[in-house]
Amino acid sequence: MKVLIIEDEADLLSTMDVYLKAGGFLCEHAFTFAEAVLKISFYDYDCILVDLNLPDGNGLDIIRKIREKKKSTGVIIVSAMADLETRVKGLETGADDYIVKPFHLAELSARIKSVIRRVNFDGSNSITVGELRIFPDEVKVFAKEELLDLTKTEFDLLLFLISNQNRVIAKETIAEHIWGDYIDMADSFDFVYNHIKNLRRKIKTHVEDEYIKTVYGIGYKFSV
Amino acid sequence: MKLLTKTSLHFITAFLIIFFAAGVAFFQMIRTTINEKADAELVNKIRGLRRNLTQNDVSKYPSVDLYNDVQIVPITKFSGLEQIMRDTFFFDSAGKTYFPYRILSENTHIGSNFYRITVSKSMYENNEMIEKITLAFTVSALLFLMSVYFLNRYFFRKIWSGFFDSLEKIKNYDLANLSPIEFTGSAVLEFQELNRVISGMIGRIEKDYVGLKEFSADLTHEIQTPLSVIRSKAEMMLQSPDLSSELLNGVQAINANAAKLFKLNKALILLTKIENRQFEERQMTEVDRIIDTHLSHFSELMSMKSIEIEKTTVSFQLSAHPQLIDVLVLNLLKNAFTHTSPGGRIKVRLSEGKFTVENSGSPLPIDGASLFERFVTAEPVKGSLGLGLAIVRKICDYYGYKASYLHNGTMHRFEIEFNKIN
Repeated sequence: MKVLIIEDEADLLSTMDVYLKAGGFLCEHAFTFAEAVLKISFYDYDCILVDLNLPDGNGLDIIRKIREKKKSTGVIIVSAMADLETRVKGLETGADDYIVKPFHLAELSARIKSVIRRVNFDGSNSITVGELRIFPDEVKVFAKEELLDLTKTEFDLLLFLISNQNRVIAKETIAEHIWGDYIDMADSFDFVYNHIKNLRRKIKTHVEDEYIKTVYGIGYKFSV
Repeated sequence: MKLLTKTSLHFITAFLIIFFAAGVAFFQMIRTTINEKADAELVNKIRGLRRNLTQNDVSKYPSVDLYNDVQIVPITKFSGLEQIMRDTFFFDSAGKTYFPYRILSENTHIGSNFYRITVSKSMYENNEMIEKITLAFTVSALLFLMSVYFLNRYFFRKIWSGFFDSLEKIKNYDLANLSPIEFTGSAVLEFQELNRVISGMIGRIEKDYVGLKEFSADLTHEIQTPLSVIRSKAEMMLQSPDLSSELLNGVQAINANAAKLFKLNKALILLTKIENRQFEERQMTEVDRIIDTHLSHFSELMSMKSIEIEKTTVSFQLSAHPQLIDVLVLNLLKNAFTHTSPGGRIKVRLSEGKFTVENSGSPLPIDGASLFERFVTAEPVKGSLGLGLAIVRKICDYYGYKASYLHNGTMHRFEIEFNKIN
C-alpha cells in the first residue's frame, strides 16, 4: 500500500513515516506544495495525507488536483485546524477523512486503512488475521468460520487493534478512538479494560491463541 | 433626557428668569417715571394755590374726595411746612369701585391763621397705562419665546440630522461583520470631524480584532504541530522493545500530558473564539435531537458505570450556532456523567425554553455559582480540566441564556433557560 505524506514539519513527517513503514505501508514524502504536485502527477498512491497549511500553497488545491484526475486515491486531511467550517470545506473539496493534529499514530494508521478499504471496495472486502476474518463494511467477525457476537464498541476496538498489528497502543489512544470527546482520559481506563476483557473472552471461545496482549501499565498489543 | 428636550428646557428656564427680571425692572421704571410726573404736577398745583390763597378760599374747599381735588382746613398749630406725599383710594359708591389717587398736603398760613392744604390727582389713567404696557410686553415676550422655541426645534432637526444618522449607523454596527461604516456627509464641521474620528477608531479596532482572530487561529496551529510531534514521538518510543518499564512509564506520562495540553488548548481556543464573537451565524437548531445524539453516545458509558438515566424531552428549536448548542449540551451531560458515582442517577429534561440536567450526589463544599468559573472544580477528578462549565457559561452569556446551579439535598441541578426572543 503506497502512501504519500505531504507535511512541512520534518519531525512529524519522520515519525509518521517510521510508524507507517513499520505497519507495512510504503511511504513517500513531500515537504512542499510544488513537490507534492509533482509526485501526484507522476505516481499513483493508495492514500495521500495532506497538510492544509503548506509553506508554498494550500492543501485544498492539492486535493482539487488529485480529484481532477479522478484517481481512486484515498485522501486524508491532516491539519491543526479543528473548526467545523474547515472540516466541512475539506470534505466537500474531496477528502475522504479529516484528522486533527495532534493525533495518535495508531489512529492515523487505522484511518488510512479504513479509507483504502473504502476506496478499493470490491464487494468481498475482508481482512484475515490469524484465525479471524473481519468484514468491516458488514460489521462482522468470524473466528474459524463461526460468527462472533460482538457489540459495536467491541468490533471497533478489534478493528482498531488489527489496524495497528504488532504495535503497542496506549489505553488513552484506545479510549480516544472509541469515545472521543465523551469522556476524560483518566475515567476511561476501566472501561477500556472491560471491553478488552470481553473481547478476549469472546475470541477465546473459538481460538486458543491470545491475540490481544497486555503491555503492563501502558496498553495493549495485537499480534498473531 | 433627549438633547432637544434638555436644551429647550434650559433655554425656556433661562428665558423665563430673564423675562421676569426685565419685566419687573421695566414695570418699576415706568411706574417711577409716571409717579414722578404726577408728583411734579401736584407740587406745582399746591405752589399755585399757596401763592394766591385768600381767606375766602378756605370755606370753598372743605374736603378732598372723588369730585374735589383741593382741601383747605384750619389747624391750630404750625409746626413747619410738613409736606406729605401719599397714595390713597377713594370709593365710588355708584360704581362700587376704588379709584387710586395721589395726595400731597402741606401746612401754610394766611396772616396769623394756620391752614393745611391738600391736593389730589387721580392715578386711574396712569395705572391703566402701566397695565396696558405690561400686557403688551408680556405678550410680545411670549410670542418671541414660542417662535424661538419652534425655530430652535426646526433648526435642531436640520443641523443635527447628520449626527443622528451617524448615531444610528454606529448602533447597527457589528464588529464581527467587518464591514466599515459608510457615513453620509454632513455640512457641519464638527460632525465631519466626529465621523472621521469614529471611522479611524473602528479601523483600528477592526485591525486589532482581525489580529486577535488570526492570533487565536495561529495559536491552534503553532501549538498543535509541536504537540503532534511530542505525541507521535512518545508513541513511537512505546513501540521500542528495549525500553525499561520505568522509561516506558515516563514516555506514557509525556503522552498523557501532551493529550491534556491539547485538550486544554482546544477548550481555551473555543472560549477565545466565543469571546471574539466568531460564532455569529445562526440557524434553527433542534435541541432535542442534539440531546438524543449525545445521550445515545453516552448510553454505553452510562450502563458501564451503572448510572440510571431518565430523559424527558419535547421537540424544541432555537436559532443559534449549532456547534455551540452541541458543546453546551455535551459539556453539561459530560459534567453529570463525570461527577456521578457508579450506581447513581442522571435526569435530563428539556421543556419549552428550558434544559435541566440533574445528577445524584452530596452537596458541594464550594459555592455553587463559582462552578461556572474557569478551572474551578469541587472535587478534583483526574483528567478533568475544569473548563467544561466555564464554556457552558460563556455560551449562555453569548446568547443571553440564564445558567444556574442548585443542590436540592440529593441531586445537583444545572439549569439553562433559553432566551425567549430566540
